[in-house]
Amino acid sequence: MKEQLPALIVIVPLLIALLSPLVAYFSTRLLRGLGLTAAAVSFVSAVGALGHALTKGPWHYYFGNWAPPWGIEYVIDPLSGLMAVLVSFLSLVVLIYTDSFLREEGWLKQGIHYALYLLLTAGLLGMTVTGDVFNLYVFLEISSLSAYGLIASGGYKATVSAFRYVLVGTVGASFYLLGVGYLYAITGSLNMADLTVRLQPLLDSQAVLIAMVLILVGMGIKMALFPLHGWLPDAYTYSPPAAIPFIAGVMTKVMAYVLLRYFFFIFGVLNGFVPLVLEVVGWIAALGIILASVMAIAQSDFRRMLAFSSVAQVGYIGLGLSLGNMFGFIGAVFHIINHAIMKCCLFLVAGGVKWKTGEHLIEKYAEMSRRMPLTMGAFLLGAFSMVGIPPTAGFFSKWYLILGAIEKDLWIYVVVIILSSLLNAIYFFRVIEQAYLKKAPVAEREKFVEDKKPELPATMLVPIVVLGACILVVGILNEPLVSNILLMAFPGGGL
Amino acid sequence: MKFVRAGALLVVVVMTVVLFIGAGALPAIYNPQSPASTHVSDRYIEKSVEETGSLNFVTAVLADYRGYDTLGETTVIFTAGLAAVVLLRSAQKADSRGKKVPLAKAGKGMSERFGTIVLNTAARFVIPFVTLYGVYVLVGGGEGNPGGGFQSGAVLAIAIIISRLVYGEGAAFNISGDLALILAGIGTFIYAFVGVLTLLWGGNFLEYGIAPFLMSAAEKHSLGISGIEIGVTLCVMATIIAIFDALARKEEVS
Amino acid sequence: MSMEFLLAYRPLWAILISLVAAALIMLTGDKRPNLRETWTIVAAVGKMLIVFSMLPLVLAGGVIEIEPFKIARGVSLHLRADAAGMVFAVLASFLWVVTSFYSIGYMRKLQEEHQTGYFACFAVCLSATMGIAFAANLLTFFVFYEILTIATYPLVVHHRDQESIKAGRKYLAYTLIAGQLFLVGILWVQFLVGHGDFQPGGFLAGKASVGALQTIFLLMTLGTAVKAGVMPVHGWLPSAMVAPTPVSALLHAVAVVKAGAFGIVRIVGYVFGPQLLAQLGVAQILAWFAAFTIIVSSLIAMAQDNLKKRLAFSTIGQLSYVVLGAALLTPLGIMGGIFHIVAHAVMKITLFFCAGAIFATTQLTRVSELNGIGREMPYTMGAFTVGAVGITGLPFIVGFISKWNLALGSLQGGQGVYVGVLLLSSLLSAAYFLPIVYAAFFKKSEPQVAKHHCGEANKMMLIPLLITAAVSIVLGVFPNAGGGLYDLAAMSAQSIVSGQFMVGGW
Repeated sequence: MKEQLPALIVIVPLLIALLSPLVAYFSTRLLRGLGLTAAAVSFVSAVGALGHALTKGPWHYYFGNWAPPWGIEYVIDPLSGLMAVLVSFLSLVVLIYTDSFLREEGWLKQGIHYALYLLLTAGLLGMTVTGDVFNLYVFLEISSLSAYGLIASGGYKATVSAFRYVLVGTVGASFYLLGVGYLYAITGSLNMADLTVRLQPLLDSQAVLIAMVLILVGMGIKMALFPLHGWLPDAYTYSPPAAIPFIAGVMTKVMAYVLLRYFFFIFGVLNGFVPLVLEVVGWIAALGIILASVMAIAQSDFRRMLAFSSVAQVGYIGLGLSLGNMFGFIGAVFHIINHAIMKCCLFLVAGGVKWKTGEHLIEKYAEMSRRMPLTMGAFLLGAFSMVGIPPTAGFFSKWYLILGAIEKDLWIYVVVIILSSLLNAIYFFRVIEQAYLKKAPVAEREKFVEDKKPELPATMLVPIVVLGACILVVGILNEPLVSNILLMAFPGGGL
Repeated sequence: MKFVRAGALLVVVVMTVVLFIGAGALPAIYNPQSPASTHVSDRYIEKSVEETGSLNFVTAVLADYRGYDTLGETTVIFTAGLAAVVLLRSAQKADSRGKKVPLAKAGKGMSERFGTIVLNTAARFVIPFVTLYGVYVLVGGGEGNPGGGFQSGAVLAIAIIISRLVYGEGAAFNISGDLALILAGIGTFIYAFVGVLTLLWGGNFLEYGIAPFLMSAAEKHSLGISGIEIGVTLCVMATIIAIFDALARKEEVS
Repeated sequence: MSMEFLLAYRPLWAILISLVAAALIMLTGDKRPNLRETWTIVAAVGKMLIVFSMLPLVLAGGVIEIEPFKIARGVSLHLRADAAGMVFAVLASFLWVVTSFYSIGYMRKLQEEHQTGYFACFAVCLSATMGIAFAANLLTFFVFYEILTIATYPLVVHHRDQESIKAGRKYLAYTLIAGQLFLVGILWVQFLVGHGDFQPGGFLAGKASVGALQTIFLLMTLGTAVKAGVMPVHGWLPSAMVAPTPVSALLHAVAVVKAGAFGIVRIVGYVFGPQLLAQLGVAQILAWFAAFTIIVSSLIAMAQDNLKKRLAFSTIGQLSYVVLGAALLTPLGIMGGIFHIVAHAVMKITLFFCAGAIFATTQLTRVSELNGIGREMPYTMGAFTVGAVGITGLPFIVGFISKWNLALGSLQGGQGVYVGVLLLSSLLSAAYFLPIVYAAFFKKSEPQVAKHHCGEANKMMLIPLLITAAVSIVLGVFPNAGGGLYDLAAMSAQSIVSGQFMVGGW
């Protein structure tokens, strides 16, 4: 079975997802156990595959044993392996967390939730490890549809925002498909490695430019790159707390990864129209970073603030993509990792606070640090990371991104990154002030002085604390991560 | 509002122009020398019969060479069903907020509402034949004849939908919405399970040729393809019924 | 764990010991205050011992250097106990011991809230201070610099009222913006040179165009000048006086502001170097700002009635002595500046301790209310007098020594005008401090104020301030007493000027 690791990463969650309604009918406890096992197996397989990719080179796995470009293959190289590890890890962590939210629900609701959640996991994992551009689209569909379903299960407002997400997201996916169609028409191939070779002589053609732009816009919509982010604030705010940490943490990052894969690997950053396209991406990303950060300051709902913050952070990744050099690449990938962990942790905190106190408005967070010390402690780490205070992980993404910008003499980007750090400080410290410094109204205080119970059930608290610790650990250990994995992921094998 | 509309119109116009220009840059569809016609297609056209045992090379590509994609698409159908059910049930609960109407259990069929004998009689004749045809499409189709799992699933679903429409929720020939969802998952699982079997037999996922039966390679592939088609049928049928059921409930409440 | 390993990693242990203490303090909580306070004292004494144990080696001309791990691609977390770093570290670790006892006395007398958080944050701040002292490259320095910013914030907003929160916001705004500017400078250097390792005499010569180097200097000094309270970016300091007095004492007279001043010394001496700065011509401008700050802050101090605010502006002026010393680019100037880090710290902490003792005992905060307090609190006001006279620069108290070196340093560099600045500053300091001393001892107290008088301050507060006052006098007569700090300052200046780590002073 060990040779089948690449397939197992995706297949195991998929299989369990398909059986979820059936299993839920008989026993929801069995369902929980199977779901967690599936996520765990997927994670272990991803780690194993990454290890193989780092030591023995990229792993090619042929489905049906048909060689590409006639068949579909999975390719685990350091970049895709790393993404797979990240996605499966967060999937597992959030799945542990959702236990408390689902316990009370009926069998069908639980069955559907686990099915959609594991399908989302399988879909995103499929997108990261595939080596076939159409297979990517198929799994993009799977992950998108399951995300729509998960978001819609959050109540009335959620259904409405999910519906808008459905419309906009489908348009985005269609653009991507159209772009793939163009690429197929001019090269006859759907395999990434094959495309890279076949596109070389064609990179100056109009068709490739249009394909590039279509794919960029399509994935830009899905990753909420400004100004295509309109669907995100509502979707993130009203989404059920059981699902949103995973969605917010990982979905947009995988879409960003797709763009990295296309521009750095398939098209190649120095060729043809690519530098021009990337320059445009850079301006848009820079603008988005500033505007989204400003919007975040204006929010009174904690989750909505996090949503706009996500748009800004995606801008950083876009900026790294547009730089096109090694530091830009490292900065972008490192920020994918950081932001996934940070945002997931922050939404876990938001969900925890909502579960314990029912509050989601910032002004109601007064004295939250007393009631939920560990939870808000994790929030502190997340906040520091977003602002970019060393030695948290967020600081180091900015370190690499600014180095990349200086290397390309793009000082305006340096200013943008610095300015956005300060803007982030404004809205995060506002929450810190509320939670740590302000006094709650007397009536509220009575309630929580009495409460002797632990701040959150262990299944919710452990994920929060673990992710908070990861923020610090990834920051302090960023050098081994960069030198041993990220540099190897860079096309050309790094320096 | 006017700005938004004008902006949207502008975007549409620009996109149309761009796509027309782009289409011109693509090689002509009928061109036998185009990359799409010469790169991978040759093998599919020439070798598919001997390699996959399928007389139809579209089926060969869909169900064998790129069978993994089709598993993905089947999963998409299942997922769409789940998502649609979630969306419709949420909307349904939203509609009935405040009203004390129980979520509909008493779905009245058309014959109860309109009370004609024509519907009953016609249904009694049509339903069995449609069902039979659906099964035929699955079993007899796909190889040399039109058909296959997706089509079969749709036809079978139609049979059940006719029954539901005419006789209402109490219809004998019916699958409840909840059961439909379970079946949809099982159907897709059957498809995936074929792949799991190939893994257990030592090959790659969906490597039909690894089956340890005493058959020729082409026959093993045929068997594999048949297996996955059954899964697809079940999934498609059940998903359509599940969505129909969710829609029907929504109708009945409002 | 071999003995060698333990000895070699002392800079790291110095940093870590108080981090561990912070965790222990948080775990102990409010339930057992004595145990909690024990952690602080154990960590403070331990830290002091570790730092002092490194003195012999460094005084002999060696350095203790470690690179435990890499902190970013191509950059390691690099710690080095060299002469300049040891000056700062010895100072901070010794004063933390003293301040810890004082804090305990102060907080308990006033029955303050949130003591656990207070002591824990204090411990983290001292960790960061050690990190700043021992940092051997720009990124390591920056990491601890920012940690210090964040760890001091809870201390500034300790009282959690409107005024404190506002002060906290101001503090963050100033320091975070400054930090970001500093970061840009650091990254630029990293890009140009590939590393940020501190080298005595600097390492940037010839690495970039004049314009680029000038901009980098501007960014870096702006970044550190904010913490060092150079005008016009000093605004956060007076507002931060809303914090409890031990915080103002240690952090805003010793750790935070000295970190800024120390940063300027590192930038001038170990990143750019005197020769390069002379070529670039930017040190002059820094010297002007320092001189401006020295004079203007003294003038503003004279107008302050709130005692702590007066001390704050005095601090602002005194810090610019260090900046001026560095900006003079001469050996004696640099040495005077570095030694003033020590001199001002012990004198100012004494003054703040006295202010806090007065407040804790009598609730009085205004200079105008201090008439006659000398008779009620003779020891406290005695120590205050020592501190005040020292700031003025009269001989036999440590302030004189650094002033003397600074004056010689400006003459050495042919910039005699700064001697005038120093003289004027002495006069102004006398003008804003001596009246207090006079009023305390020789004026009669107002009746309504006399109600507050309750005798001398309690022992926990009194003993520390007497110790620091005594240290001010001892160092004034024997500048090398205790830690050879005078020699260390000289060594550091020598190494900066000559471009290599050096032994011996003169």
